[in-house]
Amino acid sequence: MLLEFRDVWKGFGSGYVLREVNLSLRGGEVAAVVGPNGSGKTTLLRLAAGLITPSRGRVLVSGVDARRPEAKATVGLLPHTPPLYGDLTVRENLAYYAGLHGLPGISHVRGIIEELGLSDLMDAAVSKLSYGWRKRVDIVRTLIHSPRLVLMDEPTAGLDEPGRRWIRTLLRRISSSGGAVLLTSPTDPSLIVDRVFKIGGDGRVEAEPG
Amino acid sequence: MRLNQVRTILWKDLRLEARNLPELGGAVVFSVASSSVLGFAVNRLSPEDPLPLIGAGIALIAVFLAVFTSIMTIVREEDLGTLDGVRLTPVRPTTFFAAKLLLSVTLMEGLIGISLAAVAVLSGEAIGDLPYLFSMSAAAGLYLSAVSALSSAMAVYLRARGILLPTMILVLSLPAVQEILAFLSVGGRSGIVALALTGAFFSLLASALAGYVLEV
Repeated sequence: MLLEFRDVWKGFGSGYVLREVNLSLRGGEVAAVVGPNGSGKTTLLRLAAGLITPSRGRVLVSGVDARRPEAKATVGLLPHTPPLYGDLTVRENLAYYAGLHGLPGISHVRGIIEELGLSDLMDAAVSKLSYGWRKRVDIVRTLIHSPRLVLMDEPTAGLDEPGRRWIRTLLRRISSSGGAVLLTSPTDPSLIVDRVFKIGGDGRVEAEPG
Repeated sequence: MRLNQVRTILWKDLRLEARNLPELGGAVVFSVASSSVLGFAVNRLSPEDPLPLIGAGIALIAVFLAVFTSIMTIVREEDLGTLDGVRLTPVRPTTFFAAKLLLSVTLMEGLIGISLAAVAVLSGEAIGDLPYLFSMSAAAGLYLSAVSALSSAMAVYLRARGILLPTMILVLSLPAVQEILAFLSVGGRSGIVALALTGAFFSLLASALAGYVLEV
C-alpha cells in the first residue's frame, strides 16, 4: 500500500476539518479528492505529504509515518502555491531541491524540462515568470526525486492546453510505472481517475469509483 | 545531520543574500551608524578604562543585529512560502536549523566586525585593547547567533512575531550581555573562552530543540 489513512482526524482550533478518514491507495492507482471549498481537500494532501500532523490516527506512506524522512523521499507534492525562490533562476531552484534530496544534479530530469518547454528559461529568475511557467517549474521540482506517490493540488490550474495535456500523460506514466497519484481538481473534469474520495460536509470521506 | 544538505541550504542562502543587497545593506548601515556614535562618544569622553563602555555599546548593537538576522533566516523562508518546500524533502529539522545557524553566525560575525571597525576608526587611540575586544565580540556573536536562529525557529508560525521575536531575543540575550560586561570589567582571557563555550553549548541545545520547534 503506497498511502494509508488509518482513522485520521484533523482539527484546527475548535472543531475538526477531517473526521474518521480511512483510505488507501495502491501502486498503479490514480485517485481524486473532491468536495466543496474549505472541505479539507488540501489538508488531506498536506497530511499525506507529512507537512502536518494528524490530531488523531495515522498516515502511512509505504508503511512508514508520512512525517519521517524515509517517507518524504518517496513522496512528491505539487501545491497550489509553488515553493520557489523568486531571486534564484529556474536552474538554481531545481539544483537546490535536487541537492536536498541528495541528488548530484538535474540532468536526470532533462527530458521533463524539455517536454514542459522550460529549456530556454533555465537561466531566468523565477520572479520574472508567469504563474503558468512557475507551475511548470514546480512540476519538475515535484518530480525531481522520482517519487512513487505524487500528490497534486489542482495540477492543471493556471496551465494552458498543452500543459494540461502533459499532466494527463504524466498521470498515465506514473500509474503504468507502479506509482500512485492523489489529486484535487474541482475545475478539470478531463482528468481521468480510477477512484474518487468525496469529502462530505461533516469531514468524513467516502470512496466512489472514478 | 547531512553535511551536504547543510552546505546546499547555506550556499543557497548566501546566494540569496548577495541578490538581496538592500536588505543586508540596511543591517550594515545600522551597524556603521550606531557604532560611529559609540566611537565618537568614546573619543570625546576618553575614559580611563574604555572596555566596559565599548562592550556595553557593542552588546546593545549586537542584540539589535540578532533581531535583523532572525528575520533573515527561518522566518524569511516562511514569508517566501518556501519553508514547505524544504519540509517536503527528507531534510531533518536539525539539519535545516544547523544550516540557518551557520548563516546566522556568518551574518552576525560579519556585522559585528563592521561595527567594531567603525568604533575603532572613530574612537582613535581611546579604544584600548582592540584584539581583546574583537575576540570577546566574536565569542558573544556565536551565542547571539544561536539565540537569533532559535528565536527565528520559535517565531516562525506565530502571528504576533513582530513583537514576540525581539522580545524573545532580548530575554535570551541577557545572559550573554551580562557575561560580556562582567568579563570586560574584570579583564583576562579566560572570559573569552567561557563565552565561546557558552555560545557553542547554546548552539547545540538550540539545534536539539529545533526538531520540536519546526514540527507542525
